[in-house]
Amino acid sequence: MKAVKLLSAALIFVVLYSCSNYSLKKDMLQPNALNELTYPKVKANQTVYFKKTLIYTDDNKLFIKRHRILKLGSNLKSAPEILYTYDYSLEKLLNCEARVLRNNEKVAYYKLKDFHTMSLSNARMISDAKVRILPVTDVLNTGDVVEIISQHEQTFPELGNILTPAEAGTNVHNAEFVVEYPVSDTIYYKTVNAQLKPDYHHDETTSQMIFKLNTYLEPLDKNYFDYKNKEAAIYVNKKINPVSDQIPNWNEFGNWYLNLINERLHATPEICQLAEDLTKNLSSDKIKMDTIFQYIQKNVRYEQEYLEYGGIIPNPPATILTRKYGDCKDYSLIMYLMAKCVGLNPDLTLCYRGRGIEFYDELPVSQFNHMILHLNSDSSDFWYDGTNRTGISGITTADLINQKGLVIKKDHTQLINIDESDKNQLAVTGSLWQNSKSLNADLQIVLSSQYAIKFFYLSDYLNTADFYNYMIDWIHNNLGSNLNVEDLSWQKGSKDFTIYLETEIPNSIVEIDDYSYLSLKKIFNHLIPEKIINPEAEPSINYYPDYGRILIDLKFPEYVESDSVQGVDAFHLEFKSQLPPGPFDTETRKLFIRQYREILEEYAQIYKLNVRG
Amino acid sequence: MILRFLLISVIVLISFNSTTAEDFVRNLPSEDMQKWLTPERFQNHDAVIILKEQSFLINDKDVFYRGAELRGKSTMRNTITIVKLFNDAAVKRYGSYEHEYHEWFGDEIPNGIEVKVRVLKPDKSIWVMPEDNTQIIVSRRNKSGDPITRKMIFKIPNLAVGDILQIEEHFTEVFVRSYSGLFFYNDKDYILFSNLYLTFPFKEDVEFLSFPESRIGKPTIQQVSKSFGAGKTYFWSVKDLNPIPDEPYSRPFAEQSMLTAFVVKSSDFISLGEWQRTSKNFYEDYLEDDDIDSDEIETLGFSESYKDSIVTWDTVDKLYTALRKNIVLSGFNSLYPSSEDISSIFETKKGDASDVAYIMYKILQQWNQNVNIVWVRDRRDGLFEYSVPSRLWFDRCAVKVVINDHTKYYDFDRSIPYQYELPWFINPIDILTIEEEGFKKERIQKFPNMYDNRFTELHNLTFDDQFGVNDSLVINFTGSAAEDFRGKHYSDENDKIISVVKNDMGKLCLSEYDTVGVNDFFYNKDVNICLSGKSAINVDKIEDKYVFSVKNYNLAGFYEKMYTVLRRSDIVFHSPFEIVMEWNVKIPEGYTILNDNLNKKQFIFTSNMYSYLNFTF
Repeated sequence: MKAVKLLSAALIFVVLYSCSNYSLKKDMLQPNALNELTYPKVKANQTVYFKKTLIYTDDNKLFIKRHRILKLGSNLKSAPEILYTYDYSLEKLLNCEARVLRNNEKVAYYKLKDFHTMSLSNARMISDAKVRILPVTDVLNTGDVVEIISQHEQTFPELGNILTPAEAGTNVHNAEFVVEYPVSDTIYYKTVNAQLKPDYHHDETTSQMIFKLNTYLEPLDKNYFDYKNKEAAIYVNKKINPVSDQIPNWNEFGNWYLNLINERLHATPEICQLAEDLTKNLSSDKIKMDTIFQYIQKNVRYEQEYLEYGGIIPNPPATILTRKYGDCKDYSLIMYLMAKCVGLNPDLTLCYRGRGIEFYDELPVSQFNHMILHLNSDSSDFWYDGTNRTGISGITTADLINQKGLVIKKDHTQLINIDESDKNQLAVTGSLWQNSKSLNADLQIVLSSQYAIKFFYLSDYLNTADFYNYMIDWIHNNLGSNLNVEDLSWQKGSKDFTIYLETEIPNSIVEIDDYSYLSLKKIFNHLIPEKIINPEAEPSINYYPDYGRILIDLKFPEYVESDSVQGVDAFHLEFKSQLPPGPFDTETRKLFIRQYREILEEYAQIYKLNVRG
Repeated sequence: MILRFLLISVIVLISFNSTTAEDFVRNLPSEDMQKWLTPERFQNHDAVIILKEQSFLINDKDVFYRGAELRGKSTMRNTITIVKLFNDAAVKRYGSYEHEYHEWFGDEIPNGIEVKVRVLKPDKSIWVMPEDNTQIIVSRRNKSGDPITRKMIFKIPNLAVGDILQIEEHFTEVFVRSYSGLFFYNDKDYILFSNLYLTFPFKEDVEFLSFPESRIGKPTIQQVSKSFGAGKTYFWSVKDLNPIPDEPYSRPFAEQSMLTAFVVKSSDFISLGEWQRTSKNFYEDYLEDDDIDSDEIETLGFSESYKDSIVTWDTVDKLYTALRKNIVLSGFNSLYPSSEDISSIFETKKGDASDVAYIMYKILQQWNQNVNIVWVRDRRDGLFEYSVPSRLWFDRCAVKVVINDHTKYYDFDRSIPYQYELPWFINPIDILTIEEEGFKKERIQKFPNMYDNRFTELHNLTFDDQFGVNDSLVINFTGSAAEDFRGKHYSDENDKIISVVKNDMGKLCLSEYDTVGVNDFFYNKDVNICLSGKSAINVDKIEDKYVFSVKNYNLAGFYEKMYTVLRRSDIVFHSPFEIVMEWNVKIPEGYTILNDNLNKKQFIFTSNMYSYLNFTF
C-alpha cells in the first residue's frame, strides 16, 4: 500500500529541469524582485514565493523545477526541518542550489555538492529514496530568507502531475505555476477548488501556460463532513498515447501501465502449479478466486521493499512467491497471475486507500496510493486486497467504500465504484445496571463485514498489549469518551469481530424525583458525531466519516418505562442508524442531511424510567 | 518439572558451539524444546526469546592508514538472538532488521558488520539466509560524500508464525571512544536465557558490577580465548526474564532491566576506571580552555563592568535567561562541551546543553564566582550507579553556583523555561561536581511539593437562548506539567501548538472554537492556554428541568494516557502533582439550582480520583 504512496508522493514532491549546463543561480530573484514580494508580517515561517514549472520536451520527457523562498519566523527551532528535497527513481534529482539572504545580502550559497544525503531505507521500508538536506542551520537567523531551486526529472510523465501551493507549506504567498511545452503539443489541465485561468505565452518553439495564486492558507477548521483535499490545484497531463486523436483518458492510462509492467505479467510454472493445486476440483470462478486470495493473504506478509521504480512497478512474481513478502502491488500481481493460470479473468485495480479524498476523474492524473484486484463474476464486482492479511473474500476494508477503482484491462480500462457491503454493521448489545449515578454494563460489540477487516488485521499484527490499547482508544472515540473500561476480550469470526466489554459509564443516569432518566447520547456520547449543519455549510457536506450502519439493543433489567404497567418486560433501548457513506451529489446530500437530523433527534431522546416493581 | 526441563534444554542449547552449521556460534534448540515452546504456555506474549547472548571483546588493534601504523582500542560485539515467534505481530517485528552505526573515520577506517540468520521451520527444515540478502548502505553522507553513518538492513523471507529465528550479528568498531560498558539482560519480550561474555586482555584490571547482584551473581571465567586473542573471558547467565515493553508512566528501561557493567581499573593504554581519574581528565580536557570573549558576553546583554560588580542570584538568573533566549538548544546532548570552539556557538546561536552550561560556567568563573560543572543523569533515563565509575551514565553537563552558602543548579534542557526553575527530572538525583582536582558526589534534592506541579482548569460556562453552552476555558500547567508540555513543543511554531491544543486538549471540552491562545511558555514558568467557544456539554431537557454534566480535560486526558488492560510494569508518577478544576456556571435568569453540589464552587481531585459533576437547575 505504501509502495504506491510513493507514486502519489512522486507527483506531489520534488523537482525539475535537466540540461546539463543549465544554471539555477540565474533564476534566483534579484534584490528588487525580492523587495516587491508582498506577504503578511507574521511570526511563523512562511513561503513568500513558490514557483513550480513543468517542462515537457520534444522527446517526451518531463522536467520539474521548483523555486521556493522561505522567510524564517521567530521560532528558528523548526526551520531546519523544511530545508530538504527528495531524490528517487521516480523523480530523479538533477540539480539543486540554494542561498541564504539577510537584509538582501547573500550570507551563504550552496550547490548540490554541498547538500548532505540521507537514505530513507530502514527496517520497515527498503527503497532507493534519499533526502538531500541543506546544511544551513548554523547560519540562519530570524527574518532571513532561504531560497532553494531544484530540478528533477519525472521518470514517467504519463502519470501526470498536480500543481498545488499546498506542496510548499500551509501558508504560501506569490505562488506561480508554469507549464512549458513544445508548440506542437497539447497540454490538458483541470483546475479544482479555485478559479484559476492561465495566461498563455508562445514563441516559435515553446508555449507556456501560467497560473498565479496570491495566497494560500491552509484552513484551520474544515467542515467535519468536507473533503480533506480542498486546496487549490491544477491537474495536468499531456497525451498518453501520442498517436491518438483523443483527449487523454483513463483507458490510455491503463494501457500505458499494463505496458510498463508487461515484464512482470508472466507467471512461472511454479506459480501456475500452485494455483492449480489450490483450485483443483473447485467449481465457480468466485470460489477459485477466494481460495487464491486466502492462500496469498495468509502466506505472504506485508513488507515494503522497492528499489528501482519499485514505487510503481511490482517486484518479479517469482521473487514475491519465494520470499513470501511484498507490498500491495506484489499481493495484487501474484493473485492476478495465479488467477490467470486457472482461467480466471481478474484485473489489477488502482485506488486510493483512505476516506474523505475527492477524486477528480475528468483527466487521467494519478491519484492513487494502493492496488487491489478486481473480479467480475456473474455480473457482480468483487475486490481482493491481500494487504489486509486477514480480509474477507471479495470485499475491501471500510476505507475503500465508494472510492473509485481504476480497473485496468487492455483497451477497456475504466473507473468502477467500490460499493459498500450491505452486511456492514456496528452492533452493540448488552445489559446495563445502575450503580449510583453510573451504569455498569456488559456489552457485546460486533463489527461486521467491511467494518471488521481492520480489526482482523490489527488483532493479528499489533503486539498484544498495543491491540488492547487500540481497542480502548477505539471505544472512547467511537462509543463513549467517558467509558471506564474494566475488562475487555475479543473474538474473531469469519466475517465479524466481537469485543466483549465490561465497563462503567459515569453519570449516565439522571434522577429527578422518583424517576430515572437516560438517553443513548448520555450512554455513548461518541456514537454519532453531533454537528450542526447550517444552510450555508450544506454544499460542503460531502461524505460521512463515521460508522453509518449502527444497531443498538440495550437491556435495562432494573427499569421499565414510566408509562408502562408495573411488571412488564424490562426497558429496551433500541436504535438503528443507516446513514449513507458518501461521497454525496446534490440529491444524496439532501437525503443525508435529512436522515442525519432525524438520527440525531432519536440519539438524544430521553427516556423516563421507573425502577421495576 | 517444567523448569527443570527448560533448564536442561537450554544448557544443552548454549553449552556447545554449533557442529552442524559451522558458521553459527550457537545451536538451534532441540526438538523437545521446540514442542515445549507453545503460545498456550506463554499467554499474551508475542514471542519468547530462547537465548539472548551478548559478547564483548576489547583489545589493542593495529591499523595501517596511509603508510602509517596506528594503534588503538578496538571492540567486537557479538549479539545472538534465538526467538520463537508466536504470532504475526512478532513476525512483523523480527522480520525486518536494522542496525545503524557511526563511521567516525568515514571510509578511511570503516567499522565492520556482518550478520548470519537462519530459520527453523515447524517441519524441522532449516533455511539459512544468503549473504546477498543483506544490504549495508550509507544512511547519511556529509557534503564531501564521506559516510557519517551506515546501516545494515534486511528482511527475512518466508518468516512465519511458529518459526524459530536465529540472528547472530558481529560488529567491529575501531578506535573506540568509550572504554566502559553497560549490558542489559532484559528485552521487550520474555527471555528464557540471557548470557553475557566479556573478554579483556590479560593485562587489563577490570571490575564488574551487576544489578541486582543477588540475581546475576559473580562471573565465571569461561575461557582463555583463542579466537578473540589472548585474554580472559567472563561469563554470566540469567534465566526467566520478564519483558519490558514501552508503557506510559513506567520507569525507564535502564532502571527495570537487570544489567552488568564493567570498568577497566588500569591498562597500559588508557587510565580510567575511577571517578577521580575520569573527572580530572574531563576537567583538564574540556574545562580548562580559554575564557569567553567579552564581546561575546556583551551579546548576551552583560557589559564588561559585571566582572567587577557584586554578582547576585538575580544576575545569575538573568545570565541563564539570556543564554536560553540567545542559543537554540539541539535535540541531542553530549557530555562533552565544544569548549575548544565556543565562539562557533555564539556565531551559530546553536548548541547542546553541555555547550551552553560550559559558557555559563566560564562566564561566572570570569566573574570570580564559586561555580562548577556538574554531570547530570536525567531521571528520564534512569538512576546512575555510583559504584560503576563510567561517564556513559551521564547525558549532559549542568552548572552548580554557590553564593553566600546557598547553592543552585542550572540545567539546560529544552523543557525548562527561560526563567529558570529546577525541573523534576533532576530533582532528586545524584550528581558529580567536577573540580580541578577531581570530583565530589553530591545530591540535588529540593523536596518536590505537589503544589509546585499543578494542572488547573477553570471553566466559565454560560448559556444561550437555546440552552447551548459556551465555555471560556483557561488551562494552566506549572512545574513538571509545564515542563513536559514545553519539552514536547520546543521546536513547534505557534500554529502547530494551537493546532495541538485544539485537537488534543480542547476537543474534550469544546465542540467549536471562537478563540485559542497560548502564552509565551518558553519564557514563562507556567503554560497558560485560553480557549473559548461552544462547549461539548449537552443540556438535556427533562420535564421542565435542564440537566447537564460538565466536561474536563485534565482528568479525562490523564485517564486515557494511564489506563491499559494488559500492563506489565508498575505505574510510577515522576513527581507529586495536583489537579484542580473549577467551573463557574452562570445560571440563566429565571432559573434556580436544584443540585446541592453547586454550593461548592471548587473541586480538588487527587491523582487517584475520577469524577463527573452533575449540576441540575
